[in-house]
Amino acid sequence: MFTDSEIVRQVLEGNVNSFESLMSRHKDLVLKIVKKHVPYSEVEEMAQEAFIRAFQSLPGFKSKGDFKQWLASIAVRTCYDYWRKAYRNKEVTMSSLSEKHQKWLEEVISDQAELPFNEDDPQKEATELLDWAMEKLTAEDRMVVELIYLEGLSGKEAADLLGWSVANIKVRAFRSRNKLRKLLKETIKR
Amino acid sequence: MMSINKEQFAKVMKALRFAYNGKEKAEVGDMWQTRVMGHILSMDPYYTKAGYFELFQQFVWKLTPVTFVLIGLLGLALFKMDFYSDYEFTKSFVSNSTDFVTLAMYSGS
Repeated sequence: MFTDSEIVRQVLEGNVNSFESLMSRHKDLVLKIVKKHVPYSEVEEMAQEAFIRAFQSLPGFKSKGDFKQWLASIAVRTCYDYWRKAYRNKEVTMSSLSEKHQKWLEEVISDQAELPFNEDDPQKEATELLDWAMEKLTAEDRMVVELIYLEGLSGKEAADLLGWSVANIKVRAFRSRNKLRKLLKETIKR
Repeated sequence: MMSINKEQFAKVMKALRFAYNGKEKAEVGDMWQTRVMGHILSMDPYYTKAGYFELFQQFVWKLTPVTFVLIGLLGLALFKMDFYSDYEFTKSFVSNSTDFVTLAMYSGS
């Protein structure tokens, strides 16, 4: 059983087919990351893009490093690039909210109510509200909110994945959280 | 009219986190891996070239801060220093005017 670093070396020596074993090992990781960050219809394409980028960047992989972490970072940056491109080309569809979303939000924040769903059964309203709020943020803020507040990563972990400084992540996290809060506030005020 | 305090916002974020984690359940087709691998194999001839280009890019970008520091230092040095002509520069080292005239004659200035 070869280690990831050994397989990378084999690929770099010309045995490109060995890359498939890296794909088999880490496909779930890449898909798990991509599924969370890009729309459902783009998952396959972005996961493919992440593996192609990883393949092209293999000469830059340090053999003593953690391949899994390195690949996760490529997958996250691929998603970030997807959103940057989508916002730049104005390809982000701006959804709208209805009364049911407003009602859902009011139910959640009311003191009496428990969460109106469990973790295994997320409500449609919640998903749509989340998508709506994310569309209002920039690509940078979106990634920070998703990694820090929705996935629960630390500033350092998010910084490593995105290749930004920890200070930048902290500033963005603070700002994007305020933006998100303001957006939700405005939703209730309607 | 309602507004959101800190606790309520935390509650909303918790609910949104559940919705976000629900996205994980999507699946990709069975042929996906074969298709990606086929794509990678088809780009093999360009692989080495692309790899070196990638390395070159990484190297260049890593040098950017150093370049800016050097440009800054050079700018500062030029700002602090006055410009001397060769004549004035030599004169500043040779205090004796007789020596200087002799030197100027032999050096052709």
